[in-house]
Amino acid sequence: MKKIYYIIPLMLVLFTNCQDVIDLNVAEGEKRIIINGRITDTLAAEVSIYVTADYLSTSPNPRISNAVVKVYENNVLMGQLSESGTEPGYYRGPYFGTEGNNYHIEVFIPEGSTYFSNTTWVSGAETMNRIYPIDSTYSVFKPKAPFQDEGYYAYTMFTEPIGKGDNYRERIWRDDSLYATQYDLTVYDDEFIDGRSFNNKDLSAAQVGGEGELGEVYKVEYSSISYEGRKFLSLLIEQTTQVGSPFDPAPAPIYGNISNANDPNQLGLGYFFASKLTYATIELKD
Amino acid sequence: MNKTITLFTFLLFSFLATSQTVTISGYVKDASNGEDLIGVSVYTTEPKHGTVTNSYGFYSLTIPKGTYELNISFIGYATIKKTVTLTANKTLNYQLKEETEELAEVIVTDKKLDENLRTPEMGVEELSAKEIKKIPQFLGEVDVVRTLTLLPGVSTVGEGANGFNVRGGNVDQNLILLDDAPIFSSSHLFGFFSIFNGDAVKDVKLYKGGMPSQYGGRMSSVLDVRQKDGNSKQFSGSGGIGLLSTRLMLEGPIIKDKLSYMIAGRRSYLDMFLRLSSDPELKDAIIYFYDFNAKVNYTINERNKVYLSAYFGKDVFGAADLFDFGWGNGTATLRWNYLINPKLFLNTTLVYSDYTYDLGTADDEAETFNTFNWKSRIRNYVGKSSFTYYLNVKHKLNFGAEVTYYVFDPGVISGAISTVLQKEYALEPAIYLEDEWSVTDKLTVLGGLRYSWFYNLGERNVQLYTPGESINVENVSGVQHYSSGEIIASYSGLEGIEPRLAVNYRLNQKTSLKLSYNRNRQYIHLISNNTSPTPVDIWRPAGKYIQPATVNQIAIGYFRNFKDGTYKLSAETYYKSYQNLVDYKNGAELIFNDNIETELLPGRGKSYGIELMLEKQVGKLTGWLSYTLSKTQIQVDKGPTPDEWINDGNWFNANYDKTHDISLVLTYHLSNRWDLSANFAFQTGRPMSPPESRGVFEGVAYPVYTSRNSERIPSYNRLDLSANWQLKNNPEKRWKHSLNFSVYNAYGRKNAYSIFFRQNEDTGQPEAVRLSIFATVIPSVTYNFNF
Repeated sequence: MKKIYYIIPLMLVLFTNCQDVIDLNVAEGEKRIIINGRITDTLAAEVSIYVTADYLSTSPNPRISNAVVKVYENNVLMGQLSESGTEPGYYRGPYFGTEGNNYHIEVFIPEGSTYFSNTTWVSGAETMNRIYPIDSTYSVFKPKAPFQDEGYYAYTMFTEPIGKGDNYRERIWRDDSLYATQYDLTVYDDEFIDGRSFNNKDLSAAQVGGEGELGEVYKVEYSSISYEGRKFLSLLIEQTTQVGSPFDPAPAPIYGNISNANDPNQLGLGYFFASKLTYATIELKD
Repeated sequence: MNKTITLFTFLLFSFLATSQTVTISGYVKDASNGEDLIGVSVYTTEPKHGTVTNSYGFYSLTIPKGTYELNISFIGYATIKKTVTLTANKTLNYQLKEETEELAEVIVTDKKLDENLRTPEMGVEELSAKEIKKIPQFLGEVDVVRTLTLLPGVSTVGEGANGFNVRGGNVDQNLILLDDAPIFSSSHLFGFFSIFNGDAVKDVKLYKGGMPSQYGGRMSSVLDVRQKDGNSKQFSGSGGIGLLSTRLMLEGPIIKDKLSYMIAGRRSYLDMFLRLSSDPELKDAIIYFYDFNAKVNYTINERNKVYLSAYFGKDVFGAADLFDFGWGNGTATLRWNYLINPKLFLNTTLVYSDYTYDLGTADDEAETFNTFNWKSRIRNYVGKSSFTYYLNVKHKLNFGAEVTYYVFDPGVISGAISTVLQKEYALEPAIYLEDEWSVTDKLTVLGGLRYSWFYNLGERNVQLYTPGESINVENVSGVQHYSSGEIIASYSGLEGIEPRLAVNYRLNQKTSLKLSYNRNRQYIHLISNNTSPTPVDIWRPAGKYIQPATVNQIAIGYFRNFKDGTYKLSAETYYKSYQNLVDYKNGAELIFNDNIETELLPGRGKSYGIELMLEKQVGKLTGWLSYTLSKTQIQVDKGPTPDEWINDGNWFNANYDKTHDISLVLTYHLSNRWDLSANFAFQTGRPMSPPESRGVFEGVAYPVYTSRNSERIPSYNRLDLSANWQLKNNPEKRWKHSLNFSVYNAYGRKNAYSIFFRQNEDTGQPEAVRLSIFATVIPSVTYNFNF
């Protein structure tokens, strides 16, 4: 499907369109809290807390320190995350999830905080779903071809488990550097691939990143996410990448699963996920 | 009892009146090529009685016996004046000759230009192919839709956008008919050009309001495009070579005055230029469109005529042998005109319309597990019979029935991943009755009633949801199977009544006041939440969860002619109220979704505005100045979950809402060899949604939108110029040729199509960006010929 997005800009180039960065006064609206985080089966639970900023400002989003972040499993308190000493607003703790259980967080912003002082925020309950194991990996050299640069490409092979309703997210590192732009956010569901194998026999193996050079190392993380979590990320991807053509989707608010504990209609931004993870590391070689 | 007596008296009166009258009827054609002429005034003087020819060039006039001066007049043609003595019914066919240039400049007959004051129709725009060809065009391509946007009340979201908006209506609210066949995508190249080949088109009529009862199924407008019938006198043709495409139209008699044909074709050649590119990816790109028009027209006898017309057009895109992408309309229309008697005209039409699109990897993809193909189509089968009964000089009745059978095929996906989205079947019958009643010399009433109903039919599996809960995937309670032909949902209540009323009161010879009300229902919806719809957006019918949409429109107009109709001034104001508009949840997933109802929300809308137009149709200098002041807003009730919070439940401006819209179109006939023309357009910038702040997710900055369309992009203005140079012709030969020079966007203004917000990929800094589509001066030259 991504190929279709290539041809549309191509068309527009041909018809003398142009894009100019412009100065624009955008009045900043109400401040909103942003809480992003996840609990996994293998890595420590983590949460980041921010405040919205003026869209065009060059300063990063302010962070909220000294919050009390509690993680719950099936509504039973697992423990409290600790704020990083070097990265304010980033909270972490040795809590791990189990497939099938529900998880949520509760965040209290104490009295005296610059933003949202003395408020409590909760996430929706997320079920930790299954993830498929990676069966094998490989890399291969490919020559230059239309829409394909010459170089080495990494692949994984796996089988998506039978039974519809699974949702996934993929993250990729190249030599330990995370692909982290809006174009690198990737989510998918099993609507059309339920029970299928990415093994170059049933379906093609899953490509990991783009072309690379010999010796480079790719790492891929596949994580299970909920349907709502996928919808959140899909909307975020849509609103940040499908821009700049005559066919842009309508601007939409990207709410997640964070809300004020005392007023469910007061929504925060961001999402707290519960994910099972699987990893592979692939060195590019002949 | 009283009602019975009244009805009896009326019928008796009608009979008595009829017995003292005679009917003259016939066809009016163009003398040069035998084309039926639409909208020709046929009238008597002293006393004044009149009518106009219908879409097939037929007229019928029932008047008291006597001797009259009969006039047959039509703009651009020399008026025929004949003294006729009528003692019995008579068939009188006429052939009008085009006015010579000198006549067109000087002579203005008193009656032919006042049809706008006589008819109760309002909100109607008519353009002939000749008029459209005079106006400066983008890349020299004669474009019906782009020309329509220069008229009041017609706009687009921006340059190059797909479709057009009429009086605050969405693009799917326009019924686009090509020889009665519905067209689902009126654009080539994603919206840059319309599908109508100017050489094959005879006449274009746009109903913006006051829609006649025979039309239905869309809420905002009817664009009725008629193809040429084919020259029944002699073989002739026309064509042109432009920067974008080459076209050729041929027409002629097979049996003179009986059987004629017209064929036309057009193909763009952008891909041929791309092959010259050194960039391998551009070199291998495939981008072109083509279309083909054909019509055969057979006059069996004075009372029977048969037309068979067809259109096929396709856009093709691709990249090397990687993927193909294409869409196109195909239509076929069989029409039979039967003159039952001099007062009763029957037109029966059968239509097949097929809109297809496909997307996928090229067939020769080596690795079969990488193949992907998506094919989708919409088919329409339409049958209709419409009668026109010229009861007497005061009453003209139109009545008929129509039925449309739809087959929506949203997708068959094949290749490595294969799935079939369920087809949807629907039936839309309708009946109508309308009376054009000349109450007095000054008062004319067009009153009509249309009744339509709709069935969504199986076979289909329909998802069920927990009653009282939101329609979303979390509230699915089961699936119900409907067998083939079984009714899934029906809409057959009183809501299907669509009254239409138009009243014209002529204050004096120069001025008339008009009032119209119409209610329209729409049973099919274009599912697209993009700024401009793409050709692969799907259409879905009303069904168990999607309701039919309805609009009520009231309009008042003031019409005045100056200088014997040389100048026409019109002022119309309208108010429209929409119910059950389709809107979308935030983050709606619309592609490959069998249960689209989980992504939709019902909305309501309102549009109101004033349209002013000053027009000059005769003389050396012709053209118009139009101004529209309008407002269009939409509201979606706030739902229980955040994805159902559209602008927090408050009214917001529609994407295509433009407060001010001014167009100036001028054509100057400088000499027999030179025609000059210019367009100027100004529009308020359309709405945009600025982010109230910036959110962040793992380093990705994203805009936080809370209010929709609260600001506007900068205003739009553009000047186009063109000159048509008639090359020297040999007077002995029919061959005529000319060069058309045009400059689109003459001062190269970078008009904003949109302002969008993104995070710079390199720096990570969020920024505001202006997108301009035709951001430079675009000159072109086109060679045209005809013989």
